[in-house]
Amino acid sequence: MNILVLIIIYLFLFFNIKIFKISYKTAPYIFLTPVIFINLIYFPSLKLLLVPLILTLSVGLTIYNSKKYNLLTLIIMLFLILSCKPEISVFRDQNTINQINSQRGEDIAIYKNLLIAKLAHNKSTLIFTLIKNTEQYLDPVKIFASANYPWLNHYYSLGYLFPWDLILIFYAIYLFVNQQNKQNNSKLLIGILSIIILIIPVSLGQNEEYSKIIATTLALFLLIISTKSLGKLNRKYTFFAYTLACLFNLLHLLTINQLIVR
Amino acid sequence: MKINKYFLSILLICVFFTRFFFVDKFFPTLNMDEVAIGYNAYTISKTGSDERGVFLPPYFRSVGDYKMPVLIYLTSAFVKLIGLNELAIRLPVAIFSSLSVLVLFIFSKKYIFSSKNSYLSWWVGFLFAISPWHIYFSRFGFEATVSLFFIILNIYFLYQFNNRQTLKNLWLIFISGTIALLTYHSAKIFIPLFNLTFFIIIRSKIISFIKKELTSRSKIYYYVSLVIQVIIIFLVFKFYYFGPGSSRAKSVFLIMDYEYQHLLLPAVSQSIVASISRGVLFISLWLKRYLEYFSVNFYLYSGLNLVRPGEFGQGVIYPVELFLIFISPLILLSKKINQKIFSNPKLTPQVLLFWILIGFLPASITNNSQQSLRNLFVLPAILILITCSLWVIVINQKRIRRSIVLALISLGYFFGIIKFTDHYLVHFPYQLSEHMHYGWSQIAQYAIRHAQEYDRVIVDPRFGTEGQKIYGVPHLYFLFYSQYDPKIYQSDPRRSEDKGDFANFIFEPINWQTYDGKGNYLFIGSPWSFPKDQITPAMLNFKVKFINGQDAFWAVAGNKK
Repeated sequence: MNILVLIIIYLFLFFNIKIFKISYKTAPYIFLTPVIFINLIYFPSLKLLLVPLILTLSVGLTIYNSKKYNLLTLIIMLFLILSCKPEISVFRDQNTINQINSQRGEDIAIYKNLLIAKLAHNKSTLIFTLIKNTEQYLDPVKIFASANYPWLNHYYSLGYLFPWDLILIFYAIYLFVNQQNKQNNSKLLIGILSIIILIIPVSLGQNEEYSKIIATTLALFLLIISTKSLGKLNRKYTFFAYTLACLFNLLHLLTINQLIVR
Repeated sequence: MKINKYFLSILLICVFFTRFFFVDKFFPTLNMDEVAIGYNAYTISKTGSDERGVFLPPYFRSVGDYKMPVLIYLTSAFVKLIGLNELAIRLPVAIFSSLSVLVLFIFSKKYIFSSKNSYLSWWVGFLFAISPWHIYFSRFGFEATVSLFFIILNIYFLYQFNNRQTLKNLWLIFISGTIALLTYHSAKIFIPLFNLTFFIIIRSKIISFIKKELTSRSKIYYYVSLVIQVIIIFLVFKFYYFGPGSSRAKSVFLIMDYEYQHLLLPAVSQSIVASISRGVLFISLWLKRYLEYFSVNFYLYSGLNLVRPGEFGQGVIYPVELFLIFISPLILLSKKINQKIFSNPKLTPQVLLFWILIGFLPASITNNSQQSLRNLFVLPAILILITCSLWVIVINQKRIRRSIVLALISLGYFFGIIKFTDHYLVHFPYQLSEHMHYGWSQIAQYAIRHAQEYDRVIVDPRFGTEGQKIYGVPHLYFLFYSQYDPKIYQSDPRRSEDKGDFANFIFEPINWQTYDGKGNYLFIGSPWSFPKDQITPAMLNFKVKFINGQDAFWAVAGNKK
């Protein structure tokens, strides 16, 4: 491994922690920047990053700050969906149709009756196909342990976010469900609906570019949530957690460097 | 504790129907683990020794594996009572499975739900009774199902200890935990970690209990108990964690994963930070395996593997429960809901959380992805959470809306039950009879009936329609169905580590080219074990087909050319 890369990574992490310490005193959310940066280096294409970045920030701000962003979020999402024009291919996918026919055939052979075959397989297989397509973007394995990086060894388990971000996301949910201000419930609902709206088109079709955007959007959205909850931690724990996260990041970087497909 | 007899009888009927109805007939054949358990139980009941002649062994040496002892000793009692047959092998598991439902019901009624919501324990009981995850593993001779019973009992006693810190309760925790641990390999990880976590959660009570015991007059009992428990723990560790009993864990440990060993490690082996990278790779792989248990597909359509890979099959829960699982983290984390629903709002959410987190740990450190048997222990916690979600979305609604929600959920369960029944009774045997070792029992029974007509019966241990992929342990089927005298088998000099030749049965791959055609032999193997152009209809004595109609085994008489 190039020793210069190692030194740069070390320096980066050193200053990262310094920046965090300073920014926490003045404006807690400034440290979002280095956290995002360290994760950005994993994303396959910067070109694909712009739309989800804007979108995620708007969704994040909708949830955490002000109602005025609601309209903006919806407009951006609508634009994104319309621009992608996903194909609705799930209902004519040959694999799915073959599977329905095969399982129905087995039922008819046993029961000598079409009713159970229809009840058990007709629509359910199509619904399961839709869920499966949707699941590809919400699957914790995909987000936290097995994202698609063309430039990296295929077998290396690396997600869009690190698995320890999950703890922070759960902490964010914990803070959310136990807060006194009920108005935030509607904001969470808008956030969840936004994600569902984002994913519906891609669950109906197979648009690869769009899939990448969705994955990146979700990753960044979750990153904002986890950063937010990092800021909410007790101060002595925050610094400890942040240092630990940086250390884990460093270990990952050292390993990733050896697994790049050249 | 008052129990409604009407509901109890419905629950018992439900449990009886799902666990005992045709348990010996469906699935229609015993799998290899079941015959291994069965024949060892038979030898124990006859001689007190296992198939290898070891007297009352602490673990049972099987082919490439060491089986935990509890289920085999339990089964030996049933074999003694009703003989060596399918029912005797599956009955103990079905009984403990049914008892698990009742114990979970009592546990949740007494310790989980608040007195106002104690009726929710009925919901937990019914959901457990109809759970596809539990029904499926209750109708085979699986050790995990018996272990689950003792785990629920262990957690029941942990709560009892939390309420009343006595030496007796501590002993009950210790005994139930040790039996669970001696029943199934995964419990060796779950039980110590979960008990330790529970004690950490209630640490203040533990400290005051120890202080109280040390200052009491009867402190001698405390010291004696401590010494006995330490000795037992030492023995358990010696035999099952570090001794030969740990071989199973070593053979399936995540580090043995093919991708990790052959595709990842070589990539980092030349680096100056190779040791760090190896650690990072291992942790990353483990985290991936762990998170796979939180994927939707595991719960919705692939958890139980009842169909061919790639097809939509049966998940470990009903589809309608998926939505309920999604909202369960919100319930678990909401202090307000916890206070309403749980009798101990501080302890129970933590227990349920760690029950799930630790429950998935044993399966995640093995080299299989999404294995539903090794994490069966989490099922009760998941069902309690599903019940809480049901409470939130049903009870908290106004009357009309409540009726609509209830109707929709009932419809969802109705559809789920139809789908599970269809997968379990139709597609599972049709598509996967080969993987469940179907055919061995039929061919073994045929060969045993005709063995006297031949000098040798040569059995090919390889099987499968797709080629010579699967190696089995067919000698156990032949021993099982012939009820071969254990004393003769134990002293047979031909018996070795991976071969089980006995009487005139020889277990080795068939090599037709070297057979000279003169011996009076019966050959048993898959159709591809024989050159089809040389087998005449007169030689083909008997055929066994898989349930999908493909030929599974042929019995070919060698001397009828």
